[in-house]
Amino acid sequence: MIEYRLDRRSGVPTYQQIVQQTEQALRLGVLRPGDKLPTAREVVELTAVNPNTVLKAYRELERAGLVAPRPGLGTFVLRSLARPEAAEDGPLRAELTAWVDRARGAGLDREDVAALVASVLDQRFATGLRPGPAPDATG
Amino acid sequence: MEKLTDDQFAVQAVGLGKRFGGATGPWALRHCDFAVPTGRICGVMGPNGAGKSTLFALAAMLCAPSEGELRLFGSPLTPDGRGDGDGLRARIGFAAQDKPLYRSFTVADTLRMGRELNPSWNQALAERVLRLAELKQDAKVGSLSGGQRSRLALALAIGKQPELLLLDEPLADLDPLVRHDLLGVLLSDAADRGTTVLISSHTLTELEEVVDHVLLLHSGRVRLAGGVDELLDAHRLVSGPADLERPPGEAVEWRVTGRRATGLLHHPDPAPPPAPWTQERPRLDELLLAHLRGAAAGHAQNADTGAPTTDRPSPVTSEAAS
Amino acid sequence: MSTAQLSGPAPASPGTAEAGADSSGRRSPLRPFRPSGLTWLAWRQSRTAARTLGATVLLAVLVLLVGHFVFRSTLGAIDPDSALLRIGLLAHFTDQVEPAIFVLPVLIGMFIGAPLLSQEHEQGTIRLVRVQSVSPTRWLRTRLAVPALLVLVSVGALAAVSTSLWYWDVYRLDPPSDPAFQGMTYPALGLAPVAWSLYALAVGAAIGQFLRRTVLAVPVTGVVVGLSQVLVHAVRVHFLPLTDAPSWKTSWSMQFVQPSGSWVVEGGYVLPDGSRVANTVCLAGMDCNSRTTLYPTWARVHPVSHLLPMQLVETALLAAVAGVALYLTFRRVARTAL
Repeated sequence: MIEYRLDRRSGVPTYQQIVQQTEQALRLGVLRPGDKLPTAREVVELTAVNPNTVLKAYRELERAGLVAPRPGLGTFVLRSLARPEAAEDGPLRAELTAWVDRARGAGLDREDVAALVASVLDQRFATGLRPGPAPDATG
Repeated sequence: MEKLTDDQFAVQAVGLGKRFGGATGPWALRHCDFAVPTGRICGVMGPNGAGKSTLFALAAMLCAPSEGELRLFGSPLTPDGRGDGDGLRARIGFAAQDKPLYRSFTVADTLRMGRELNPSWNQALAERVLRLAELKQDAKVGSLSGGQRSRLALALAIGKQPELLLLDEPLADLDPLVRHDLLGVLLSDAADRGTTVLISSHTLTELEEVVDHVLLLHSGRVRLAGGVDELLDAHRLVSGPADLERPPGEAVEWRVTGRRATGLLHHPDPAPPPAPWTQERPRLDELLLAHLRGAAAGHAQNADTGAPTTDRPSPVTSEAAS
Repeated sequence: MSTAQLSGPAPASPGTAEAGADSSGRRSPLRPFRPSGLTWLAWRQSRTAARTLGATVLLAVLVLLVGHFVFRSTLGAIDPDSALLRIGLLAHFTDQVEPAIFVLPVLIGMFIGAPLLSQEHEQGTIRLVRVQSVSPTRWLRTRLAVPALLVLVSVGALAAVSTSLWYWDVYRLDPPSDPAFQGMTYPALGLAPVAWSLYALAVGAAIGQFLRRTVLAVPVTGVVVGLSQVLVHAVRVHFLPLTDAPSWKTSWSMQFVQPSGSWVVEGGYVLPDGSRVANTVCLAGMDCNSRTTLYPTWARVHPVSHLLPMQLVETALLAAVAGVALYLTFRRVARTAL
C-alpha cells in the first residue's frame, strides 16, 4: 500500500502531491491494477491534511481513469502507468544508465547531471510541444 | 446568503457584534457577516486580540450577541432571543483557549464527566486522543502539564462527537508530533461524520493543510471569509515594473520597492496581465498576510484621519456554495 | 468510579437521560444508589465536602453520646438527682454543644456554600459544564441539590441526636434548666440547625455566583449569615403573638411565677386603677416591694409550646430569603447562558 509523504514547503498544492505520488507509484509498479488505495480517512489520519484535499486528489485520479471507487469497499487502481520501456531491464533505462556513466566520465557531478536533464526535459516537454518522433531522437 | 437554505450552514453571522462591560464597553466583535457551510474545516485566523475567542464564546453559546445574530444550524441566537439553546448544546463541542478542567478530578473522572453529560459520547475516540499523550487514568488533573491538560480538554470536546466542533487555539501547548497526530485523529473523525470544525490559530501557516475554509479576523472585523480554493482562485500575486499602470483588479496590498511593484490583487482579469507583468496564485499564508497588512494599514489610516470605521473597504468574502 | 469502567466504549447508560431530551430515561426501580449524569458530577464535586461534613457530624454525635454516658455513669451512678450531674450536663450543653451547633451553619455557608459557584467561575469550569449536553439551569439545580441533601441529612441527624439528649439530660429535669428560648439554646434545637444550615448554603452559593471570587465570597457569606442570625434573634419574639402568663398574687417576695421554660417577654404590675406598668417602674423609683403596695402582677410570654411553631415560622422566613437568593442566582445563570 502506498503511503503519502507530503512536503509542506514544496509550493506544490497538497492534492497535486497526492496525485503525483500516486502516479509515480503507478509508473514504478508499486501500485498495480486491482490494488486498493488507502481510504481518505487513513490518509487524513496519517498526514493530518484536510479530508477534502484527499478527496479532491482521488477525484482527480478518478477523472484520469486511473482509479475507481467501489462503494463500501474503497478506491481501487484501474490501470497501471508502468511502461515496459521504463522497467528495470528495459532498453530506455539501459540507454540512460549508459549516458549517465558517460556524463560522470566527462567530469559532471550529480547536480550538473540533474540540471542538464531538467533543462532538456523543460525544452522537450514544454507547453505546446506534443511528444512525437523527434528527428534527432536516434542521433 | 439568502440563496442558500439555512441548514447548509453550521455557523452563520448576520451583523454580529459583541461588546463586553455593558452598553459603553468596547466592541470585541462588530459588523460580522460570514457563513461556514456544514462539513467544512474552517480556520479562524487573526492576530491576538482580533476577536477570535469572542467569536468562539458566542458560537459555544457561552454568551449572547450584543447585536445582530448568530445562527447555528439555522437556529438564531440574538441579543434577546435564546434560540433552541438546550437542543443546540448537545450538537456543539468546545475546547476553550484556557482549557478549564476540574483540577481535583482524575483523568478518568474527567472522561466520565464527558460520558455522563453527553448522550453521544464516544469513549474510544476520547481515549484515542488521550493515548497520544500517555496520560495515566488516575492522574489528578491539577498535576498534569499544560500540554497534557490541553489534550484532556480536547479529548473531552472531541469525545462528545458534536456536529460543530469549536477549538480555540487547540495546538498552542502541544509539541509538533502530538499536533500532527491530534490533527490526524481530528480530521479523520471529522471526515467520517461530516463534522464542521472551527479551529483557531494565531500562527497563519499552522493550519494551511488542515483548513478548507477561512475566516480572517482583525480588530473585531471579518477581513476575509470563504472557501480556501475560491479565495485563492480570486486572488493573484502580481509583480512588474513600478512605472507601469497597475493591472486591473482590487489591490489588497501594493508595494513598490525600487523599480519593482508587487502586490496582491483581488478579482484580477481572468486573462494573465501582459508581458512585463508576472502573476501567480498566492499561497494561503501569503493571502492572509496581505489581507492582515491591508487591514492594519486601513486601520492606521482611519485612525489618522479620524474617518469613521465604516469607510474602510468592505471585507472580502466569497460565497462557497457546495 | 473505577477505571475499569473506562476501558470500553461508553455503555448507553440510562443516566445520560439527564443530558438530552431525546433519550428517554429508563430507570430500574430496584437499583443500588449509583449516581449518574449530572447527579454523578455534583456528587463527585461534593465528595470532599461530604466527607468533611460527615466526619464532623459523626465526631459531634460521638462527643454528645460520650458526654451523655460519662455523666450518667460517673455522677449519675452516685446519685441520679445530684446537683453535680445537673451542672455538669448543663455546662456540657451550654458551653460546648450549643455554641458548636450555633456556628455550624456559618461554617457550612462559608466553606460549602460560598465556594460552590465562585470556584466554578474562578477556574473557568462553569464554561466547561456549559458546553456539555445539559442545560445550565438543570446543571445548577443538581449542583445545589446534592450538597443541600448532604447538609439536610447530616445536620438533621446531628440536630436529632443533640435535641433528644438535650431534652432527656437537661430540659426534662425538674426544675428545668437551660430554657429552650435562651440565647444559644434555641438555635441549637429542633428545626433550627437544619433550617439555618440550608439557608447559609443557599445564601453562600448566591454570593459566590455574584462575587465570583472565593476569597471574597467566603468572608462575605460569613458576615451575611452571622448578621442574619443577629437580626432573626432580635425579631424572633414577634413571630408568634404573646400569651398572657397566669399571674397571681403571692407573698411580697415573689410577685409572679414564670410558667415553666417559657420566655417572659414583658411583665409588671397591675396598679389599683387597673392600668399595667412594666416592672422597670420599680427601678424608676416606685415602691414595688413594700407590704402596703403589693400589686397584682402580669406577664406576656412565649410558652414552651411556642417553640416548634416559632421555629416553623423562622424556617419559612429563612426559606423565603433563601428562595429569593436562589431565584436571583438561577435568573443570572439563565441570562448569561443561552
